[in-house]
Amino acid sequence: MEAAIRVENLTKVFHNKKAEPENREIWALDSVSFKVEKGEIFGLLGPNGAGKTTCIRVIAGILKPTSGTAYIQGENINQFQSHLLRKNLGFLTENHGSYEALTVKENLAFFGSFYEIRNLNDRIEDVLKQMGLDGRKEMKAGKLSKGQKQRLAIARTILHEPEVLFFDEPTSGLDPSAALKVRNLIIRLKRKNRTLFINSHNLEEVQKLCDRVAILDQGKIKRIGTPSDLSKELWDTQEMTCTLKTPVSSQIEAKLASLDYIKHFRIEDNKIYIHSNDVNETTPPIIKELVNLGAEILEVNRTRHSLEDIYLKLMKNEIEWGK
Amino acid sequence: MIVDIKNCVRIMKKDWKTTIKNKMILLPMILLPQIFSLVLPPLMLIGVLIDPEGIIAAFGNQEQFISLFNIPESYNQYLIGAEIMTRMMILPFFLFIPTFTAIIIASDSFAGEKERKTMESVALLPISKMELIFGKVLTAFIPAMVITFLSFIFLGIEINLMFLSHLDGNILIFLDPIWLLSVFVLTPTLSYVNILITVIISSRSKDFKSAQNISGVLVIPIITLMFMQMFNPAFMSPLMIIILSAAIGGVCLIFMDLANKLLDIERLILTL
Repeated sequence: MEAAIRVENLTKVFHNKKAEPENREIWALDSVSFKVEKGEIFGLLGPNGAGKTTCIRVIAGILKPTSGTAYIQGENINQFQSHLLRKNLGFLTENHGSYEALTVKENLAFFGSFYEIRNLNDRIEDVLKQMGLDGRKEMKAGKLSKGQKQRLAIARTILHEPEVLFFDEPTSGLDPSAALKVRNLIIRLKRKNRTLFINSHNLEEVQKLCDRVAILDQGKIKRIGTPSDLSKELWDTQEMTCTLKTPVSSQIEAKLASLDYIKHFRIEDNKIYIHSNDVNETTPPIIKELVNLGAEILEVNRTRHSLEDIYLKLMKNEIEWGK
Repeated sequence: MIVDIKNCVRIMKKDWKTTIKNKMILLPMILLPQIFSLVLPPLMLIGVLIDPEGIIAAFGNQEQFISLFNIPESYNQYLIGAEIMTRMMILPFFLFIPTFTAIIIASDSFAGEKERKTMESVALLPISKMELIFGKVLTAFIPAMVITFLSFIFLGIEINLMFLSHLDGNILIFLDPIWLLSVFVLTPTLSYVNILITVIISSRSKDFKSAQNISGVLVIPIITLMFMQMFNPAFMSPLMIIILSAAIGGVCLIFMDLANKLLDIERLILTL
């Protein structure tokens, strides 16, 4: 099946004529390649200036790639008329981009009029309800709070029910309850088999929402995969902690030392810290061995590396430079 | 290239809603036509009511004007003086109306989107560059034309009312082919090309004000026209107006293509 988004060696170079000759070329994207399957939520992470926004602008066809290409639902952005391709795209920009002199409803009516939406007025009412703005439809967009403007921008993005949605910092400026509503909306969109591409700095949010992530730095993809795949790639072992009712016996210690799938372990009174390649696979047999030796297990904890750990490990150089 | 006129109209309607609410655009759009159609003409014509012979003599030979302007025999001195004054002075001034109106509205076209930080949202719409440009042109063209035609009607009424006691069944400017060709043929083509140039300038300016300042150069051709008419009464003949309009129409076609090439969406977004 054709991927919803396929990016092939996408390169974007900006030219700054005013800069020193050696700094005139800015490689915002450098041979970036990835695929996003239909119905997938894909997260693009990276520090400021990594090229995340440029990446989605090029894919959406508003910036021309220097080289390489992208395909949206099989259509090549370089060959297909990009404005027709955008009929099936939803794009939440970093800037809310609404007309402040127009009312909330007028904004949606304007943007919605370019798509073939049956009963546009009903659809506007529906998205306003979804975004909690139904009580403010006659209010000028300029009078809305920052969070409400962001919700209006999201309403505009989903108005025409696009197949592929790009969200650039979707929860930026939202209070926790509004951010939760947006995350729930993203989950609902996934259930409808929509493809979502999220640019975010909010690692916790990306971890909760995204099926796969790519980490972009200085225009290059550093890593791509599911958070658990990335964790396996970046760390040799994973840790599990087992708390027993009584101090660990020498018999248990000897048994653990004999198990080849345990890389190493240490004991602290009634706690055992065990490192293995994949805790998901090794935890059940370890527990079985401990129970066979008569150990009473109080608690088992598997320490998984969060997306933040992964990100921080990959961005170590960047962070140290920042110091 | 296929242009979906519905998309252009959508852009135009949105721009009207946002433009009308901007006082920086609305005030000059209302005031300037009034100055050029209602305030300046009576000031220019008052001398004719006081001393028609003196005014005619100041311009030149009366017989020469009668033959050059095809002035009807039924015209008295007042109407001859008014005819000379309207053709020589008021008509060139009148051409400022569509030019100024076009500059005021079209300066906001892309520079305004940039200032309001809405350019990216517009660029993401499923419309072609040509539809966007044409929508922006329509935004300025229709009000410029409506204001020009209304100004012509009000100006005509005002002049005829001023000379009411001397008309003797004649009508000033409304039936004058020079005026009619200028208002209904020359003005639309002149406005269209001015708007196109201003839209290009607006797309490459950092804000509305600087776009308006740079577009100010568009009054130079009108000033040139004004001086040519003042120094050569035969200049604005019906044939000359038709030739001028056709030439400007040709320039319009070139500029439409040029606008499409010069509108750099990437640059507009990156300089937000």
